[in-house]
Parts: sequence; structure tokens; C-alpha cells
Amino acid sequence: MCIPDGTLRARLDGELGQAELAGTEEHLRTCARCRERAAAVAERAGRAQALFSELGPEADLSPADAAAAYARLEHGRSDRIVDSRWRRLFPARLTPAWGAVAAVALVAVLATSAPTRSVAQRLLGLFRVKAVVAVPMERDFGGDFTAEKRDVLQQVLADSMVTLVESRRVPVAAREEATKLAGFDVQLPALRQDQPQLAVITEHKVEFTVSAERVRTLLSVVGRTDLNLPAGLDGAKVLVDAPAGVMARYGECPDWPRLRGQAAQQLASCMVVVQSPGPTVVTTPELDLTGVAEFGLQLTGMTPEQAHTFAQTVDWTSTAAIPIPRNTVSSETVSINGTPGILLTGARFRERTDIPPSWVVLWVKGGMMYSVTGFGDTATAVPLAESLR
Amino acid sequence: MEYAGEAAMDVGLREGSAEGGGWPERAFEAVFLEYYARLVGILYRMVGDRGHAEEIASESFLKLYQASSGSWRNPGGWLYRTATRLAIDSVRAGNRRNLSLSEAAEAVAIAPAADPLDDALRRERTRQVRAALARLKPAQAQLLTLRASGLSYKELADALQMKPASVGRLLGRAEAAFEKAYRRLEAAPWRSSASKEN
Repeated sequence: MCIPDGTLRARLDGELGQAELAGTEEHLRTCARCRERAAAVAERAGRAQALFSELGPEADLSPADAAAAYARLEHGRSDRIVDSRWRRLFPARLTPAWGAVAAVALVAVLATSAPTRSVAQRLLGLFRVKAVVAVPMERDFGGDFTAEKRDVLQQVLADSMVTLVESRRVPVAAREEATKLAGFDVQLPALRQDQPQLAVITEHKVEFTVSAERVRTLLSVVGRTDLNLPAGLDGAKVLVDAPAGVMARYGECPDWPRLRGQAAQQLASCMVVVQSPGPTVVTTPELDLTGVAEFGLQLTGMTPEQAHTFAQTVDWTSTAAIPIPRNTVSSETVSINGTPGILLTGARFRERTDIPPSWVVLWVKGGMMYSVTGFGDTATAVPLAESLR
Repeated sequence: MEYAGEAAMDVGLREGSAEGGGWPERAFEAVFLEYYARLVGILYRMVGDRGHAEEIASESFLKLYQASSGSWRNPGGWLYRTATRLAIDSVRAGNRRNLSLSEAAEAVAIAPAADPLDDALRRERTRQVRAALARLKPAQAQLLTLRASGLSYKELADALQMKPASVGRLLGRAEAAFEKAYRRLEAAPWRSSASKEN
């Protein structure tokens, strides 16, 4: 029986098993036709190889080249999730203004000290905060909001902003010193007898310009290409000025990112009070704030109709809207000595059922924003907040 | 108010959402360092430009990073297959985009005065080889390229999802198709631009 071409070809590459090779050689010795075919297969392989040699040698890269390439990839880590279409659109990398939408739609008000800190903290645009309102996010960014996506958004927000004044954290020894540095009367909860660690977080001021193209890219990241951009958004300039605030930490509070390693009983004593004058947001007059609010509300999952209705009920020039991921954070309206505020309760940590959920009370009074954060029993939240003086 | 924000909402985002694709960081790095130089070397022959080859390699790794965990079991094979396919697509797109009929004719007929004729002819031949490769079935072009770069039959079978026992037969066929495509281009070089895809 004659040898198939494929076997003759594999023979050339030394890819035949011992037995098969022996059988093949044996056959070739006695079969002139197969010898001819074997020669033809070899010649053709030789010609193909010669053609290939026209392409020149392979590029010769060293391990150092590979390491450098990996570093570049790591550096552009946030690009990972951006699919190649976008990379062609923005060849250099994600450059400024990209996330300005998010910043307009979700301007950082909660994060008065550092607007670029976290996407989750970005709030709707406004001029001067006089009130807070919770906006449940039906389609929170949580579901498919991977760490990579968050990195992209944060990077973009960071890229898109020009920091005019950089906030610093200045530890201070006593309330009087904090009052003097921050420029307002610092209030502390009378229900806590222990001494807080006090720090003044100095003013933070950023500026950015919105680009419609970047906004659309951002919408692609969050999967909302269905949204129409509000009129006047493209090219709008936005200035956010977060005045100096004061942070008071009671008990054993964790450094936030390391919370996983924190012992539960330590957290029980932790409480953080933050206060600062409401930030001001200045935008170009053409920008229709209600339109931006509607856009932002749709971004958080409201239907266009819901967003429109809701947007009419709020004075966006003075209200900080706080997006609440509905599946992980619950919110309720509370009264702090007669002033309306909101109480947010966080979900438990997945792996650490021993760690109590965190809660935050937020309210605005007399132009000042206050937040009180703690862990565990939410029944203590409002009394603690009301004891500020 | 950093604590306020982070306490209530970051907790939700941080803990409630996945940490990403699931590649252990070190594992991905190891795969990258093992295969990157090799891939760029192979891709360089296919596209003829180192920068472009590196781009395609990086894109392949990005795809691998995002791919489902099934691809991790044999990252080498997956990378070889994906990267060579991207290179073929890129060469094909380049043929369509960059070479008008007149440009192709010009490249053959009017070698730039400053270049020795030999050089011009060699460059043209290189381009024809590349064009011939790009006109094969992708699987054939991948097989030829990866074999020319020294992959064993087992590695080829892993990368291109074929039986190891079939590699010899398919390789022989691919060589025949390659030669035929090249001869056609040689006889009518303008085909390398005014190709079937147009």
C-alpha cells in the first residue's frame, strides 16, 4: 500500500513515530512511485520554504523588550477594557475631557476633598449645595462594573481634570485649631466622649472641559450608547471648588482600602464626622442643568419619562444628587433636628460577615454639608448626628 | 467627606462587583513574558514592520486577558492562533487600502532612482510573498507561518485546533496553495492589489 502525501510531508519534518518511519522507509525502498512522490513533496516544501525566506528572519526580541512591553501594557492597564475600536479612535491613549461627562453628570460633591477619588462619589452638577437628594440607581454601575472599568473611568476623570488647587490633609491637635484653619465653627458629636483625631482637608479646585466625543466613549464603557447628550454639553467648561473641610475620626478606624484585614470589634468603635461648606460648581451659562440632570438620571437607570419628571422636582442649582447603587446600598430620608437628610446603609462585606455594614448620614444645613459615618447599628446614626454641636 | 462616600458606596462597588476577568496577575505576566518576544518575531515576518508586529502582539494579549477562562489552559496555542489571524487580517486590509492598481504597477516598473534595482525587486518579491500568504485560507497561512517559525506538529495542532496526525497532509496542501497563489501574483503582479477582495 502506498504512503499518503501527508505522511511523506511529516517525514520531512521528522514528525513520524519510530514505527511509522521504519515502515515508510521500508516501503520507499521498494516503491519507485512513492519515491517520486516523496521527492515531489520535498521539492514543493523546499520551494515554499524558499518563498518564506523572502520574508527575512524573524524579529529578534530580548526578554528585556518583552518586560518593557509588559510595563507599557500595565501602564495602559485601564485601556484593557477599551475595545480596539476605541483605541483606534483615541490612538494616543485616553486623553483629557474623556470623562468630563461623568464629571458633569456625576460631579464630585461628596468627595469634597478629592474629586477624582471615586466614580461612585460623583454627583450631579450644581452651583452651590443647599440640599441632598438620593437617586436610586436602578442600573447601578455595579453589576458589570468591573475593577477595570472603574479604573478606566477614574483614569479618564483624572485625565480630564486640571487641578487648580490640590487638597491636602493637615492633622490638627484641637477643635479650635481646626476652626481657625478651616474658617468655620467645627461641630463635634456630644454623644462621643473620646478624643477624635482631627484633620483639616484643604480646599480643592478643579476645572475641566466637556467633549461630546469623549462622553460618547464613556457611555460605551458603561453600556449606555442609547442616551442622547444634553444640549450645550460639548465644550462646556466646568469649575468645581470644594472649600476646606474638617474630618474627625473616633475610635479605631481603618485605612479604607485595608478594611478587609480589620478586626470587626475594632470597627464597632469607629466613627467619622466630616463637615465642609458645600462645594460650588460653575458652568458655562449655555449648559442646561436640568438637561444634564435628566441625562445623569437616565445614566443611573431611570427611564426618560421618570428622569424628566424627577428632574423637574429638584432645584439643580442647589441640590447634590447622590447616586445610590440600589442593590448594595439602601437609603432612607431622615430628619436631623428638623433638617431633612439621608441615611445610607451599605451592604455587608461578602467574605466578612463578622464586619458590620457601614452607614452614613448626610445633610446640609446653613450652607454646610455634614456626614457622619459608622458601622453596625443604624439606630445610633441619627442620635449621633443630632448631637453635633 | 471621603469617608462618607467610601463607606456607603465604595463598599457596594468594591465588594459587590467582580474584580475583573479573573486572571491572577502574576500568571498573566508570566504568560506575557513567555510568549511576547516569540509572537512579535513571527508577526514581524507576516507584516514586515516591527512596531506593527508589537501592536498586534499586544492586542492579542489584551484579547487573551479578556477571554474566557477556557483560553487560559493553552495560552500559547491561543495566542499563536489569534495573533497570526490578526496579522493576516491586517495584511489583507493593507492590501485593499494601501495599494491602488497604479501604485502596484509603479512599484514594479519604476523603482526609485536612488535604490538599486535589486533592492526594489526584492522588496517587490517580499510583498508578493506576503500578498500570496494573505490570499490563502487563513488556516493555511497560519499553518505555513507557524511551521516556518519552527512550531512542532503538536504545537501546530494545539494552536490551530487540528489533529496532530492531520498536520502533514494539511501542510502539504497549504504549501501547494501557497505556491500557486504566488505564481499567479508573479504572472500578474497587479493582482496583489486589485485582489479578489475588492
